[in-house]
Amino acid sequence: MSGGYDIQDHTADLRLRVWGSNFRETLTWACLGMWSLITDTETVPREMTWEVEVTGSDPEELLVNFLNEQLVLLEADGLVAGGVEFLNVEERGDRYKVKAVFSGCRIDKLSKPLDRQIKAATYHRLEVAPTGASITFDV
Amino acid sequence: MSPRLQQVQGEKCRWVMPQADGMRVPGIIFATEEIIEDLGETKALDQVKNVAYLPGILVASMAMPDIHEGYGFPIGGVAATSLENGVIVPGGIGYDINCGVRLLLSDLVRKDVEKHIESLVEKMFEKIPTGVGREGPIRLSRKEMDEVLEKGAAWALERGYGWKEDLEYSEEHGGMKGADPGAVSDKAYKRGKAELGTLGSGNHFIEISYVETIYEPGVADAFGLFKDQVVFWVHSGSRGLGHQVCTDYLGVMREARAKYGISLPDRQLDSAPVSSPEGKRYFAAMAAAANYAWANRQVLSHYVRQAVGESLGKDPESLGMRLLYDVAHNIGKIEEHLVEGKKMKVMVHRKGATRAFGPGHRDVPERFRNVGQPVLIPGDMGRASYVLAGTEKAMEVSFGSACHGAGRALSRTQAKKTVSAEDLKRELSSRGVFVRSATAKGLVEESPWAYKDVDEVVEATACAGLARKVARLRPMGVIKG
Repeated sequence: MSGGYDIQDHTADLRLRVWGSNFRETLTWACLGMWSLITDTETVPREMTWEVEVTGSDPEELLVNFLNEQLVLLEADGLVAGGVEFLNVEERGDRYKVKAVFSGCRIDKLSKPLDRQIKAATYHRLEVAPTGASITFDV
Repeated sequence: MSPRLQQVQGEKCRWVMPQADGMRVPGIIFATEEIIEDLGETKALDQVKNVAYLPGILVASMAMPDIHEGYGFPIGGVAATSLENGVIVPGGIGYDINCGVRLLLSDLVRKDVEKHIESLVEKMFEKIPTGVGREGPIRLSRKEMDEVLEKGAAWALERGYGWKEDLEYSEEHGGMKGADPGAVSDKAYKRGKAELGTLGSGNHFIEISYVETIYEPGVADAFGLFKDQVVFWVHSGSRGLGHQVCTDYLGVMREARAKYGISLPDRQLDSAPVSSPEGKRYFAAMAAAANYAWANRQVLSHYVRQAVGESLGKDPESLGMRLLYDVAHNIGKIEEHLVEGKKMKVMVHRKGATRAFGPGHRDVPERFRNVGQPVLIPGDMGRASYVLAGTEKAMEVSFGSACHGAGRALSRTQAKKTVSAEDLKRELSSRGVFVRSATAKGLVEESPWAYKDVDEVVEATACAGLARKVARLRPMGVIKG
């Protein structure tokens, strides 16, 4: 998989830029980038997997909903992702759907505390294209 | 200085952004010339402009002296909208609904605490769940959660977390009317069920300070503040529950915007008419999240009192640890204000701004009604914080609002480059501040030098007449999320 992410300056919050050779990769790197803000993903034991399925009426909403759903799973069920095992995007008319499988562990299995809490992925200065995206997180 | 801004004649600390393009009202920024110069052509000014596009916005899109770039609204943004033809904007309240501060007083003086500061901070750190993913000792069933969402701080009191008079000394008595737990999603409930009584991360903190300077002895006396007094700050909000309420309703507002034909330049400003079913439901959910935050700060206060009592081997009541006040700085309120000479109820959005009601207002507790509401302004962890008092002028010019803090100057990535956690701890310790933090990263991102100088922000607030300076406080010990 080609692509990647970096963190850009934003005074109050954090802004992530990601790129990939297609929308599937862009979404994957957005997940990996967000988790890198939360913890050192390399150190997350990959001892379980879980599925996430999210819809949106356009690519922006899809991406924001997708990232926010992962934050819900972290806070509600303690699921910490270390990697993305599978990711598929479908487009049907004005409905976008992403289905992904994450690998990682429950929060109590981590060897050190998480670095930060992300309150939400926001629509602020959100840019989404098939080959890249910029997302501002409220932290 | 931005060519978009003009100084208001006869007002040293008020600047106007005249109406242009789709703005329905002008923008107004309360700040000194230095702050305006430092701002330059920032995105925060675009945000002041965007907010002026809101349907039904009244008087102006305003920003306090701690203005900086937010999402949707600028941080420091205040906007009042009409209840008849205006909108309610989740992005004007933010993700951390009812993020706010409270200040607990004491009869202790600086020298009583100075020598115990390390053990006191350690005791608090042990008692108060801090950082990400730390669950509190309280587990709420959905039924109990519904009670928290309806009652706010009163729920905490019923469970023994606090003193009866605490409720009187809180905005809205620690519980907003009109909250509907049914408008809060199951996801939000799940995010919040184990987080009540936890501090969280980011800029949230507990701080032990002492009163360094008194500016207005009469007002300080009414507030119960005196020189060298030790006081305790609690800064936290509605945790994951509030964040999810905002996320959920941005989705609702997205559809509402299309349904009601609302066109705005920023998606983070998606909104619905205040009087629409969507607007009313958001308000009910927002009020519920606000109540969660008040319950949270109430439980945190209880832990602070316990920690101080245990650490000093005394009963907290005998130490006079009463609540001075509790303010919300991310919230939407229906309030009565004078608009063009006419008294009317309006929807006030405060995003990083503090209510600052002036003397005589019936919502100010009787104890200090004749001097104005205590306005609590935390600064950074190295320099200072302030207690101010609301003014009549704030009622006239800013919908009874003032600044909320120092405001960030550096981004989190920049802050990390300027100092290491170890150096920061050493530097703070040389200034007499003992710090304990859940993570080293969290600490350096909140370094004092990442913030604007709170003195300047407070000077600008006083210069604009939005609040009066009552006391300056200096930090002694800090617990960071």
